[in-house]
Amino acid sequence: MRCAVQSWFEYPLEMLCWIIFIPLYSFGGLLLLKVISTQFSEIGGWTFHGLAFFYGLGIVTHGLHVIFFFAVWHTNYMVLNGEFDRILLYPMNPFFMFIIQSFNIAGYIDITPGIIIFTYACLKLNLDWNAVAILKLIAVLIGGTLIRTGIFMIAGAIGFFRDTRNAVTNFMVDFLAYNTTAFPLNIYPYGIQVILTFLIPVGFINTYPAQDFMGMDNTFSIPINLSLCTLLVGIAFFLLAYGFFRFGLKHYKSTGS
Amino acid sequence: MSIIKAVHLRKRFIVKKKEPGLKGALKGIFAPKKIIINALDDVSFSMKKGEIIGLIGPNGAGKSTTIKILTGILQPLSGEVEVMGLNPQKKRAEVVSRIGVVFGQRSQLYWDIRLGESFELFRRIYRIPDEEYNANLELMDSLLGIRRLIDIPVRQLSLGQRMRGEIVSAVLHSPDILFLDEPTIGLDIQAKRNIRKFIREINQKKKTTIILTTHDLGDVQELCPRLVVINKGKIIEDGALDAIVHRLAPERILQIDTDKVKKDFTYPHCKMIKCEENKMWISFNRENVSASKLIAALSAEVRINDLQVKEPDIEDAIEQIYGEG
Amino acid sequence: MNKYLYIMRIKIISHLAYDIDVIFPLLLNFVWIITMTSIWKYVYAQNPDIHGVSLPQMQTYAIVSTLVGCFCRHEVQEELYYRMRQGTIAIDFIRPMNLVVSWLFEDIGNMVNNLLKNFVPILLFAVIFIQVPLPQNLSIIPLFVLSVLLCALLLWLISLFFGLLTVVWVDFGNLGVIRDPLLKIMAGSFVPLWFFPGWFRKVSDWLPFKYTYQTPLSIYIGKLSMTGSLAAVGIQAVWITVLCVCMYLFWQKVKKRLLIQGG
Repeated sequence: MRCAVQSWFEYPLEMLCWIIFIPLYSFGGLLLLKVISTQFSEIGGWTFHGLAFFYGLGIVTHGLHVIFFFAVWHTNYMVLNGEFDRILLYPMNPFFMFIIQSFNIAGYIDITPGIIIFTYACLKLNLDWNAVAILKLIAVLIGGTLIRTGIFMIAGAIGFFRDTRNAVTNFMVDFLAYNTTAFPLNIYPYGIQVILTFLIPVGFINTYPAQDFMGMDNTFSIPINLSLCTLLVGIAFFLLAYGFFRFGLKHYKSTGS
Repeated sequence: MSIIKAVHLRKRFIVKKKEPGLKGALKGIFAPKKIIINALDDVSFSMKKGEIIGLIGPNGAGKSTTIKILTGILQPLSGEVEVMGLNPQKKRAEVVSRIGVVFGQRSQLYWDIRLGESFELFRRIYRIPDEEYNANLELMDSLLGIRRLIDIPVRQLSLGQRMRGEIVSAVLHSPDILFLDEPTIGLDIQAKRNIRKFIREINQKKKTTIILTTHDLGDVQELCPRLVVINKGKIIEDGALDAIVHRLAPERILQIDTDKVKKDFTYPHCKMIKCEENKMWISFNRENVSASKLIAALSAEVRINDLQVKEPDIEDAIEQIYGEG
Repeated sequence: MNKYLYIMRIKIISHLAYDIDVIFPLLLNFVWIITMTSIWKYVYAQNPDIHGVSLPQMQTYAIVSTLVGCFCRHEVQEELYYRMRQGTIAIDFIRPMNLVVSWLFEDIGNMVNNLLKNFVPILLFAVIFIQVPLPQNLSIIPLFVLSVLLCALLLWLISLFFGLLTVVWVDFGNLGVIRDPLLKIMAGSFVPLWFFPGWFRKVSDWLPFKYTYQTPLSIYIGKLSMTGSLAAVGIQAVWITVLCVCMYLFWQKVKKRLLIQGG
């Protein structure tokens, strides 16, 4: 927390620049969805407002992930420049330490456009926000954030085995932002949808929850409620990723590379 | 005929004062509060070909600014510079192709690839003829053992090895003048010794003029017959090292081991600086007091078991200069 | 000249240092091809012809866009930002060479490097899994190649502009955050500008961005007529001339500032 506040004092103009331009990426993506959907009125059952709901939801979970777990993006650099060793020196669970250090209030820059887009879509869609729907939304936000975090934990943990300048993490940043949470998964061929559902569960970040809220069908006819499913998948995937991270850390400690 | 001539150099930096927070930053854009820092304030000196000078001074004194102006990468506010008869600002390309520069804190080598690649690049940048390049590399190998390092990626070199690489890369084109900005920073004793030996040799063998800035007074003591001390943008001392030390720190210290000290011992122009159970320290000025007379006077009053005369050293002199400035 | 070529060589070698850093960027290119062609397939399922462009043409557009994109990856902007933050930029002046030319050759090195590492794998991937990206008319290939080279130069000049701006406005941080979203949308590398609303196209006509990706790609898939293609390439050349002059003046200003104020 101190880190983000400090940077406001040290580089206030840089923060100003981010506040203006980082949302441009998000609104730019929305513009592309708008452009494509106005050409065809709807894409496979998705209206523009449905797409906006889907897209906004994805950005909100991205923002939550950036606020609470930003440090996992930097695992490789921390390993390369030896900063990670310092974390191992604290008399605490290193992963817990790592997460505490990563609280990053500057993530509100990332989350704000998501909230704007999501709210806009909700207003246009006239969804019924009863207690069940709100609980579902909370479950979806937690699940989506955990899935994103798990993906970056695995990407970062690769740095425990191999020297890299964050290549896997950089790949995942683009992969998530532009390729998988910017368009609903049902545009993809069946095989790829299988991968993006069962191997890297990005489908549960926003495609399936949005389909649940819109009352649409999903490709795999998953029997449980999709929103609840997101939470379960999120927890399971996070634990799996945590296991891999621990495994990598053990390897790192023993080789001391 | 001097190879470097600096006359009445002045340099000011205008620094925008940063106020905290966004409001302060916005104010900084539209109505900035500017502070003027006088980095160099009337600096004049000159060097002859083949000379080595040590340029010393505390952090922020203006050493790096001086070097940057002499190498043409910074423009003085006023004053005149001549390097090899040329103005380094107006004839930058010509001047920089005949000088070598090492910045100890900033690497100029390519990090991810073998050291030799950086050398090959410099060979092309400076258009070094083959014979000269090979001869220089040969010489560098005998002085710094550079051939053993040439196939190692720079990131895998130790600090001392990398500094050897930096220095070699600065002299491959046989520069007339070599600027060394803190070349021994962070190095161990052995590595420092190697680099000092190299500086001496290249100065003798190739008559290279060398300007050395450092915080390590050992470098200065071993290498530089002439010292230029700069503080707060002004040259405050310029002359032979010994003379400066003698003038600024004329006090010698006599240390006496005795069975029983005499706390109230006095002698004209001398001062008791410390007194322990069986040891006494007395400082005296070589101009007014001779050591033998002082010892004679002392031995009349206490029994001297052992004695030692400590000459003033450069550290004391420098400390005094910095303290005044 | 020799020295600049060597700078290029050094860039090529230094990018082969870490193996994972070679594989994953390549993988990302594959992913992009899949994403783009999947979207077009989905969209075209309801409509066989949009703005006079067919699905195979659009898939070719996506594949060739990825190929051009893997080629035109420049670092001058990031590099200037980095050197400015490290305070090493003024020190570069101690070499007897033209700095801007040396940056250009560093990026040419990057481009050659990307071509070697990515071009063939991407092309093979596309041919095996999507389709052979043939042009509408083989005779336009020379014009297309020329247009790609102009596109590369134009993108480099845009990056140089943001890099020099970073030097002047160092307090604003890495100005890549301004350049990237602009290019992402206005260059037509993913969704061509003919899909956009009229006002947006009018604005983009007067900016250099659409003459980067969209021009060579439209020439390749035959969206532009022969005269249209020649005119577009001509406009590319005009933009390059304008930007060259502007960047020359800008650089003189930045250089003067660095010489007076230090790095």
